Amino acid sequence: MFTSPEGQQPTVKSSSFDEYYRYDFPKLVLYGMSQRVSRFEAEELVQDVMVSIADRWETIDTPLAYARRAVTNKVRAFRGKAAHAAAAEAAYMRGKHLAPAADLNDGVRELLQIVHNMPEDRREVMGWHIQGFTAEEIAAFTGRNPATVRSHLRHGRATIAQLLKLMGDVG
Amino acid sequence: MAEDPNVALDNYLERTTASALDSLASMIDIEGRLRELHQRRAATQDKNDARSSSPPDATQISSSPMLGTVNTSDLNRFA
Repeated sequence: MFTSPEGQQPTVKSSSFDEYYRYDFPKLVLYGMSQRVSRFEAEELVQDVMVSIADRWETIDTPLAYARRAVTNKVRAFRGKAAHAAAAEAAYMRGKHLAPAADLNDGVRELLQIVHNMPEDRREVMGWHIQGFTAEEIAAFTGRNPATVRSHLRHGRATIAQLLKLMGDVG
Repeated sequence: MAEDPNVALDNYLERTTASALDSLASMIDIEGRLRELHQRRAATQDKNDARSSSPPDATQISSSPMLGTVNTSDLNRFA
């Protein structure tokens, strides 16, 4: 069974691909949405990643980490396409990128909006963080320096806390 | 006593993420998506099988007495 990563074993692969798919598909869509793509775009990108994972299922030891790295790369490629980039940015500025997420409640949209406004690297780190990955896991799976990840987390969490007026100081 | 700010933020993130996943799980047709994935992979496999079992297209292969057999489609990739 694929359990929540925090404090557990995100690297364990003990289920079939179909079980993994059912477990991780919505989580990957949410991860994609945290990286500034719409729900519909995220679903398509995640489906492409899942096809790739199914093809390599026997050789991938850490599907949770592999999938998030692959979605990150897909999002970057998707947003990097010259023809699409300007339109995506314009749509983002108009707030239309959240339209497909209109069914999500205000709290979720508020959190996504805050993460969307972060610099790209911090946005990626926070995308992993809100799904329960620890700083050490994020550093290991994304190839970042642990101190850099902790810095992103500190600033990212402080931004969220500040904007939500939950607290004045987050260590 | 006031709640630890970090714990409050952790609780907020956990609650919000759980809410988002509940909503997404109800909006996404997971089983339909999974069927679509298997169909897509089967179609790709069928295409690959057909390609490997059919004889090469004679128009795509040329011979040179000096170089032996050259697959011109490979050359076109570098054009």
